[in-house]
Amino acid sequence: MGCRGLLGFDPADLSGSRLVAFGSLIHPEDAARVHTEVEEGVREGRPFHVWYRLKRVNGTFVSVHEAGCAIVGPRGTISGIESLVVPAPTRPLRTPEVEELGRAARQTAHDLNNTFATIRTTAELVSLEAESDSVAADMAEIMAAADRGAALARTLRQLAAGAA
Amino acid sequence: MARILVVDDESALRRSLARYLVRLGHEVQEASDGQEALARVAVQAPEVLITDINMPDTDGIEVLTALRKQGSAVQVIAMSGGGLVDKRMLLDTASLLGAVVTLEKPFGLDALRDAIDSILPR
Repeated sequence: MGCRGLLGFDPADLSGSRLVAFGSLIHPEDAARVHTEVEEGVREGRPFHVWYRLKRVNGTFVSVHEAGCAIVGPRGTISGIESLVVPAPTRPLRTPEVEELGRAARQTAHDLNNTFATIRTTAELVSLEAESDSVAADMAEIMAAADRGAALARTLRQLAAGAA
Repeated sequence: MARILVVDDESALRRSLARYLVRLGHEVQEASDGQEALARVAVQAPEVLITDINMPDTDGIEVLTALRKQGSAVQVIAMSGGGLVDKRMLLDTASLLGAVVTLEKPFGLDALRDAIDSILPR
């Protein structure tokens, strides 16, 4: 979905703030948080991910997710920010404590997924290389257990989505 | 058969994927982060790059962005177990940046083989 589909504006209207400054379209309740999160990402030299609401040309708001990073020149100077803005499910605002809990749960789900991916992949590889049926059967059990673990990680992530 | 670069900071998973791809007859290189991946792409010109998205320092999204800027012809398969954001959202972002196939971790080795078969010229 392009700029016109998402916001109803022609891309040229927003380019270089010719007609409308992009920042002015951010919902007033989200603007300070967006500014802080983007600034932190740029300052710490890491990509940023931020959710907020943008005003469409008809005055309604659309929830978006923006992922981006700073454009760093050869001398280490920041010449701009490059990012991608896509529609996102509405993300209800939560208390900082609940946000932190959700963040910890998402990180745990991510780490579990990587662990189960390693277990599953290695077991499948051993199964392919196994010369005995009993080893292949054992590996199939390990793979099934890893799949069950991955399903639990998905549940944890869904719970985290409700918390943050 | 193809030259393939596998990028993941999870060394055990990276090694297993590489071992599987060698078993299929591919020529495989490994990198443990995005910076190393970009350096290897520049030197070894792999035909396929299989990259994790969530990695410390230079992540998979940054790798895709850099490859796009360079006009690289490498075909990218992006994989993710999710991070601080939804993994489908991360993989959708990877697709928008040019990844031709996306895989949600954990995935079966058949899915990886099919993904590679789908992007290599017959």
